Amino acid sequence: MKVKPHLYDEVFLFEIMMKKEIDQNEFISTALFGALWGLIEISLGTILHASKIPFRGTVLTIIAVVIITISRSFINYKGSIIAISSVAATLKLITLPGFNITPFIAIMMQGTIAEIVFSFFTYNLVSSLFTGSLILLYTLIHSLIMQGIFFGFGIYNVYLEILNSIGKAINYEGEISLILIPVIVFLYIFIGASAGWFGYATANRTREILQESVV
Amino acid sequence: MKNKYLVPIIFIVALFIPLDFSFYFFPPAILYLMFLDIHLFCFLRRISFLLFVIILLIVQPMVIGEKDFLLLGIKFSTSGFYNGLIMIFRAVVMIPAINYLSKTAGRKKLQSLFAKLGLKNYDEILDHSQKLFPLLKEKTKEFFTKAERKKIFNPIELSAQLLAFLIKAAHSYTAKTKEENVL
Repeated sequence: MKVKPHLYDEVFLFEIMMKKEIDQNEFISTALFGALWGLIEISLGTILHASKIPFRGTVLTIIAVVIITISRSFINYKGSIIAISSVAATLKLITLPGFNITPFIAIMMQGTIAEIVFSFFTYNLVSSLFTGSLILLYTLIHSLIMQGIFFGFGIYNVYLEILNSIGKAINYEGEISLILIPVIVFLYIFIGASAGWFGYATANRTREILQESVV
Repeated sequence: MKNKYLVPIIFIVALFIPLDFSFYFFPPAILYLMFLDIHLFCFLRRISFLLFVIILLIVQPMVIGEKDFLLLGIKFSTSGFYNGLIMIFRAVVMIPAINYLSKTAGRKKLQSLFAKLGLKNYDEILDHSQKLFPLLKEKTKEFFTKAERKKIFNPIELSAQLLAFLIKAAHSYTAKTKEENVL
């Protein structure tokens, strides 16, 4: 007689947690979300780059947060987001000519941050909001880090001095950077959380649509 | 010495070189990179880079350091200008060096890097993603040209409908190609 493994059986649980091979559905979904992210990075990235509008990276990151939170709803194996981000980053690096190493690093970091958060917390609205906030916050820090590497870390001093000079020009007593920097950080956190919420809501609705079509 | 060693060395030196020695290092490094590939310096014409040049060479001397130079009635600091010039020189070395190194990053190298990181099925997933590329483009166009989709104004509903459509298309495409391979 074949004994069905019990849910509380330690070995059975261990097998679920340490999934070594991905199944066909997970494989297709990983490739799909990787391709989707890569496609958006390449097509929309090129349009934004040509349009020269500011905050191009932030716009792409908001979309990346939405894709990440949606993808985690469909592919929940360990390392799934890193797999998706590595596909998107590679597609961007090998498809477009020129200077693409910074977006490559950014995409990989976004995937890594999301993977860490979703490894510690289960996938739900709160973890989606948290992931979105952290990724957007990273985007803000990423551009500052890259500027520090390229121009030297003295550039931060230049920014602070420029901000404080603007404060003095509008007759603000004290350092205006102490107000402006937290406001910018809060704004990024808020936008990231909103993107996370949008992704979570979209994932739930997509599931409903797919279930309806099956029925 | 081969370029594959010299360019990373230039990058590392540019990253850590003290301010006093930087004026001796940056010009020959720029010349070397120019002889290596002049196209590496295309970024100099970018608006974003020119904005940094304005900030570091014009705005910075106006706000940082002791104002000891008068030009067109505006006080500037020569130490701020010198500091900005070094920063620009540093970027003019760092950006082409990274650009050159990123050009050498081929698919094989990335594959071995991701394999070292323990990412399984990376190559297969990447291959399948590239196959899905034209399908996604085609299906997205098809989705937005359908009349009933134009009536959806809720962004969540619209995104969910599109995603469900793409998921179904990707799964049926994979099943179809698998079947063709078997036959």
